[in-house]
Amino acid sequence: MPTVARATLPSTAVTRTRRYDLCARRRSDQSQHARGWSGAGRAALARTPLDDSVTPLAILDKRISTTSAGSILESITLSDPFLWIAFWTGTAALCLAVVLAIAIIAMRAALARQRNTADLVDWIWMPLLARIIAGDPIEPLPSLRPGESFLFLRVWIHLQASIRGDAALALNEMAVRLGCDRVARQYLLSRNRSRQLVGVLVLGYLRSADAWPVLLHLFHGADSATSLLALWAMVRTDPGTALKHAMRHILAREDWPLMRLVTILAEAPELCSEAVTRAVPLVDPAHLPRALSLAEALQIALPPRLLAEMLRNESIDVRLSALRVVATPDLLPVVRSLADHPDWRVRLQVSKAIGRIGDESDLTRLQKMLGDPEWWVRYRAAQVITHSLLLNLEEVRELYYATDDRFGKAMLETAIAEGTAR
Amino acid sequence: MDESTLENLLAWLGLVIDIPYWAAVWRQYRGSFNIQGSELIRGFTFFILAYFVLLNLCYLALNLMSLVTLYWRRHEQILDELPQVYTGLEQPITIVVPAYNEELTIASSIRSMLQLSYSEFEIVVVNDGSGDGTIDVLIREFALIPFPRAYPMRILTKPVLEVYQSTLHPNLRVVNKANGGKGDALNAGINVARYPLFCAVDADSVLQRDSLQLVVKPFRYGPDVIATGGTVRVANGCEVSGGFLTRVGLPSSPLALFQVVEYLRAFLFGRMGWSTINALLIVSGAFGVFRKDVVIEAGGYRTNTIGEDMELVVRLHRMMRERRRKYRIVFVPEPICWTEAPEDLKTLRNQRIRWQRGLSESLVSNWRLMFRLNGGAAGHLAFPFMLVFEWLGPLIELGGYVFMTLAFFSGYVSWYAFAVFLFVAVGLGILLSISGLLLEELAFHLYPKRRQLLVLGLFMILENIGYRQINSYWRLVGLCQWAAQKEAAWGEMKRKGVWQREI
Repeated sequence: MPTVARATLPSTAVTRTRRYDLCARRRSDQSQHARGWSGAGRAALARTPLDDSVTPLAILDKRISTTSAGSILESITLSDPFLWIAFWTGTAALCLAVVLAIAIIAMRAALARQRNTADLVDWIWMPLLARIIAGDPIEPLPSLRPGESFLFLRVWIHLQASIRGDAALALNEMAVRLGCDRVARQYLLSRNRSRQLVGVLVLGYLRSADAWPVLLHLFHGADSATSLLALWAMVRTDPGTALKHAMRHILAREDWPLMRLVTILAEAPELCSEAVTRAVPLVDPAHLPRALSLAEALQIALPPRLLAEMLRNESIDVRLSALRVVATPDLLPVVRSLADHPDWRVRLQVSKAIGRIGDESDLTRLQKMLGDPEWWVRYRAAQVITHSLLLNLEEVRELYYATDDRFGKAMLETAIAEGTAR
Repeated sequence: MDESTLENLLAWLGLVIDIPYWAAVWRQYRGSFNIQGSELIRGFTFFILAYFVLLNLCYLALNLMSLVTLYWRRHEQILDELPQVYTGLEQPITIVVPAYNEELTIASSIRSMLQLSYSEFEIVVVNDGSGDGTIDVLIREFALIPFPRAYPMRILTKPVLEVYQSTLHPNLRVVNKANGGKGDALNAGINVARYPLFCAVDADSVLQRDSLQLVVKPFRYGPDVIATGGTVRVANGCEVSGGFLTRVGLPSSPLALFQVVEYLRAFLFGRMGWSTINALLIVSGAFGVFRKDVVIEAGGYRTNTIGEDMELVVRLHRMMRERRRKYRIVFVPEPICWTEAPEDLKTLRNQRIRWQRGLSESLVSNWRLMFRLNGGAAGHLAFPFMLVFEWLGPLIELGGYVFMTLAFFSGYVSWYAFAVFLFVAVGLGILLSISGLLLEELAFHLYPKRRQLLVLGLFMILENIGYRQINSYWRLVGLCQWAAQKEAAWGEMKRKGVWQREI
């Protein structure tokens, strides 16, 4: 190991002036360095009278670097600061590697213990859970040990997500008898995110109104997963109050995936439909496309008057979202007026909307769209012609042969082939 | 604290930050290396040491960022374990499979892809002018019939000879085209794709049933996400049945084992670290999902490069930054794609040369990303990192080893300086490798057996003594070949596939 004298704090402060004096003294000895780094020269320098206080310079002075003279111990010193840093970096790296290796082994051991506990929980509780789901009352119910709570609740949650009806209610009753609602409320207040999520899930399945204040607090949090889960629990517990409070946030939170929202709001479809219909006119214009997308995903029939307004909105995104939701023939005149819109995406959605609500008089319009400069407009128009109820297969073939436009013809051919392939 | 203690503390602090003082110390002790010779040798030695330290510290920083992300994601595991219900709102995907001379394995690969668990997807196989019977196998196995070829030619490709539709699987189509390379084949697949997302998959990739669900997940969170990269793991030693992975194992070949370690150290957690700061410059060509409209806007895959996958991603970063549009390119850490790693030196060598050439082409053709004011982490951190540590890395690393060895034997560098150099290089490398294993344990725990852990630990040490250096040499060859503009070739991959069973 290199010999490095440890620094000791000077009894008196080393002033800047003193340090510069030392530097000046060193500069005057440059000629010694010009001769090379001989052991004698270094030793002589080390013996140069310095300030009595122990300075970093003096510490470095004591290191001797020589290849030709001195003992083996002296020869393996690191007199250069960079070498010194490099050596200790390598040493620190290896020590840290050893620490990480120990951490890996410790993690393995912890995982093995957790697996054993999980196996034990499964062995004790799975048969009981199966009997409860089957409608078999169990008396008396064994008590749940504190160390088993988390693992038991994970299994319980998994079963709850897979079943419905009386079996779910029976599981809820079992959880309450075991005191799981109390445990779940404790988990809500935990800093451990896993436990928080488990707590929210349990209280959501139990539809526990007691936890409402904490759920509301989590709902307003920044964490997407936790806030969304809190919304789910609130909707399950009291959908009316939850939707009344949450709809504004639902439409504004872009970090909440629409798919997940649809799953949550599908728990209360009628209340949700009312809430969305009430919220859409009042929503911030920037969030209007999202609101309309939600309405489309939930298959909510928005009032035609409201949709007509959206279809006349200046924003292309709002018009596109509104076109996707159009489902009543009342809006045909407005939809038709957009058939020649300069933006191809609008024309595309118009063709799809006509496919849903159009009538025979729209065939001409669709035929015209077969010659649209945008491929996707031609494609959708061809799909609407071939797959809607406007024409039967024979009539479609006739139309194909009657079409002069080669692009339109090709598109019809593709749409017919796709239909045949399906 | 009393006055005298404070005074001393301030004095020591003043000492530490007193630059003229340390400059004087440097002048005093610059000869302590005992180097007889020019300042250049000393300076170069310091540079090599600093390079190794900096390289490994950067990787450690990436691993640390990965650790934070993994720790956070781990808590959501309870949600991932719940039964997943399709809402019908999932974005449909087109899986584009470029195929070249794959007659032996293409049918089984496509059959396994058809069994993927996802709400709506289609598969477009692009036969890129194969010289063997790939197209005949496809026609026979999937009852293909010619299909009308009306599709938008958004990206120019080599001529398409025919488009086929499978009568057995409505969501399977095959494009038969003239040979144009992998990039050209992917572009043809993009042209034919119906859906807004497309997934580029290698024909020999082994996916998991839920691979699509996992890799598409980030797209749920908004239109900002333009691409996601799936984790590619080494399939050697694993059991595959029916085209899906059934059991994870370690390979018996030492070369493959080194690659397992390498994947953990550099490919997996390095990329995850970059992803956390939206600076991921590589999405593996073996498995990546892209928004079709964005890729078309960028011009599709380049056909005159051998690293078309990385080049596209770097170009996407550049394009989005130039147009000042909000975007994210995300790395999905779950193991969802498995591929066979080369088990012979020649194939591995060709692969690494090819990768280095691809890297060179990608960086040079998109160098503007680094100098953009709004380059972000991609331009100001990831790009320079790639440039210095990955692109020039082999030159400096190998140059460092060669220089230090020669200098030592010539007496220009003392033996302890040489020893310290090796100590730092190997020590930091081992630390990095073990941090990769720690993250693997924390996040996935794919290797549960004690023996597997011991073998990985051993190879993590051995990797730094020989394998990394050989790799650097091959990468240097790749760099030289690129510089000499030598014609690139994919070479032939010797597939063993002994772990695959017939469907």
